[in-house]
Amino acid sequence: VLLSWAVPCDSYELHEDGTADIFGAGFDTFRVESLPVDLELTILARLLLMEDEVAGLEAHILGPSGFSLRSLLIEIEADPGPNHRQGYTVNQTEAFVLEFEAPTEGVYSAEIYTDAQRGDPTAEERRRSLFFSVREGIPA
Amino acid sequence: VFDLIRLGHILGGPLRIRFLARRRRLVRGPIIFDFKAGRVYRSSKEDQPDLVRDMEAALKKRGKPKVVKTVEGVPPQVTHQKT
Repeated sequence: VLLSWAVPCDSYELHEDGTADIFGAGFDTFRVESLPVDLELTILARLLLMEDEVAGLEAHILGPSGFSLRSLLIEIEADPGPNHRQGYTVNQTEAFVLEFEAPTEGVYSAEIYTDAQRGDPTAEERRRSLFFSVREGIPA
Repeated sequence: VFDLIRLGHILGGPLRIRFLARRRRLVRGPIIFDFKAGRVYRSSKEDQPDLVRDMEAALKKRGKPKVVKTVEGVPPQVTHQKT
């Protein structure tokens, strides 16, 4: 499996034809009333699978100190849509939610890894870092 | 029946009220606003005092969010370093 893109968002709607509507994408900061706080990060990811491929996706939330606050291992099975062309990659949009407790202010990241064995292991198609901040104080 | 002027002021208009009501699954059908009478109806017929109460409670909750998502950027030394 290869990773085409991954985007944090508020919510989403996945459609049967493989497209998705994404709402509230683009934020990079959680402003919270007080710390520590329980947060939820919803990520929508576009994956490129081979037909009949069953693959793994790892996701971790790293805190400001670099320690993992939450880990998720997701098994993904290629599920071609109604318009899939035989012999082509299965382009699939998957969503997952990472729940974690943010203990302090600072820069966090969501690290996403695929278990692809091909290509450069540091390439963006195999791993992705999504940075975000957590700050105390609700904006006016 | 409720004070549409007050609620409208808080929310910024009827569309916002309708959006909030739907989102919180308080109503399913259309909501009709009668600004002249200062009333709100569901399905154009029935008064909804429960709806008003629930919406005001939802508003109160919405007025004090615990988490807000913003776009503020992150330090460049973090995002631009190769790991």
